[in-house]
Amino acid sequence: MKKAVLAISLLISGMNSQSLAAERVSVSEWVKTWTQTVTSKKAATFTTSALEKKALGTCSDCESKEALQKARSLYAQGKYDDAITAYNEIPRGNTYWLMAVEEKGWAQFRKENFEKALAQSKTLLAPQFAEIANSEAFLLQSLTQLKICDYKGVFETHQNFKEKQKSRIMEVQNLAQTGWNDSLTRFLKKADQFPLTLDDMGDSVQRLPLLIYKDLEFQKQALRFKASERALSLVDAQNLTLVQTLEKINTESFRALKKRVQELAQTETNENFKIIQKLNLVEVEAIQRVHTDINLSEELYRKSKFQKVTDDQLVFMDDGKPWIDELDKFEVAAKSCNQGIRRKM
Amino acid sequence: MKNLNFLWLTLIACSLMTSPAGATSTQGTPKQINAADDIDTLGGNKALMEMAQKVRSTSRSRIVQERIVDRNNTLEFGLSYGSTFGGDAYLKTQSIGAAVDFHITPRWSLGARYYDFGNSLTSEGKRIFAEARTAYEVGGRATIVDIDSPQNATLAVVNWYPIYGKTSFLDMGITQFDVYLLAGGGNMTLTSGNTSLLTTGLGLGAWLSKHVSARAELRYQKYEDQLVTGTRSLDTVVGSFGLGWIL
Repeated sequence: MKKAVLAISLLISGMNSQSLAAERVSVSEWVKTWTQTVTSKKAATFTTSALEKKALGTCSDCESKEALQKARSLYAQGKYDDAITAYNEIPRGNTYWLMAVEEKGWAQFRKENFEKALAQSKTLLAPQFAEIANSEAFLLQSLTQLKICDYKGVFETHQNFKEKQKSRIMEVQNLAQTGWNDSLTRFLKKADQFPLTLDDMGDSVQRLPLLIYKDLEFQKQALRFKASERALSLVDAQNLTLVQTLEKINTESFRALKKRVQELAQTETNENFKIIQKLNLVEVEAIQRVHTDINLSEELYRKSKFQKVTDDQLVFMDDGKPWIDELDKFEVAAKSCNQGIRRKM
Repeated sequence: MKNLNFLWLTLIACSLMTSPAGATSTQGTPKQINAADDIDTLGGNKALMEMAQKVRSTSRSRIVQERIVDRNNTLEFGLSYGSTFGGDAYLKTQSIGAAVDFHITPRWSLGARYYDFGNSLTSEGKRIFAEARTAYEVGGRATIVDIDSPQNATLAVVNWYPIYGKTSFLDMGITQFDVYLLAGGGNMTLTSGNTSLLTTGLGLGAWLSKHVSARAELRYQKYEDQLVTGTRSLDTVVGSFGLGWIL
């Protein structure tokens, strides 16, 4: 479990966290400064709006967000090649990179370039990411394998889905009801710098909705909670008005935080629900086709070869344990069944 | 049998459509995933896996990466330190070298090397010298200790890089490397004068960054030295380690 977070952290922290490091704001530092301004026991106000504006008011990852939106728009228009070019603009290591890899895979799928779609899903389902990847990545791989009649691959992908995603999916579903779990407690204890990054989430990321740390409302409420909590520990207990104000902010922000977690978890659960339904359908289709294709003659298969490489390229075997620098460098060659084949039961 | 299978499959499909997952999929209501019915049923059927294995479709995958360093028409300058093994039993020879390599492609490069040799006596050399000196001092006949030590050498080499790989040292990052073979010839200056030198060997070039390289090399070299007794052919091995700067 730790390995997955470490890998993505290594990949993401390489660019994202470092680039954000200079712009991040420490809540504890801010509260310390605010405490120094509280001179009179009576006269004191506490508002985090300035802090929120400073920490969350600026757009982070704007370029990548724009590239993602542009790519999605092109995808929706059916301009898959242009969409792929736009997805490629999102740098490796960016928060949205995994999302871009997945959507690039779907673009290749729509182009019926199944080998390239598989190459993308292999990155997503590499051991480093399999536990934190979107469940849709499994559907991409499963459906692509079905398309090329790699039924064994379909069953293996589903088995992998079960092993890697089940506990996360159920945990997120549980979060949709409760709004809270141990991971959130752990995260909130440590959180101090805003805007949040993946590093701040640590292992908790595997038990929370995807990209929760990028959600503005979640960050805003977490920031308010942390700031009020910190301020409560520093202000004079005899300043009752201020203490009451802080306690109110603290309680309200905690409620709002839980509510937001529930909303995010429910949205993800709804998505997961649909994906699981589709995976079940793919499985049924695969079971059916296994029985019909088992006697398919050799001539009905199309065997493709790997592309020739130049001296500037290095080729390594895919042993199922890719190194961090090998992610998104997969190439797939398939022996696939004829797409136009009519199957008889 | 086929009909039976079809019936079974239809039943599975129907039961799936009416599974709790399907039943709760009404729009607007929160979705509820039932792990046992919706997830645990996926994959894991051994009989089906065996059957699926018989279907001829397969997919193979590999990883294709770009080289970290572009070594097309690229110059590399390097410095090295080496030690000579074999050769004259009385001499311990070490060298400091400078090298220029022109990489034509990542597979081939041409290089020019200059080595400056430093020589010292081995323990056997010291012993034989001491023995000769003692014999001379007592007025007896001393054995002539004849050594023709190498001073410097200039070489031109061709390098061929047929094997590549990469390594991760203490999680400090991933380094690509090439194992290469080299062959060449040149001139060696000995105490007695110049002589021709032939060499062949193998090395490992690690590309630490876009501009820094490290090389470890093991080279066999052949040359002739001049002793009082005449010409002697020497076969030595030079091991060296160097760092380079790639332009």
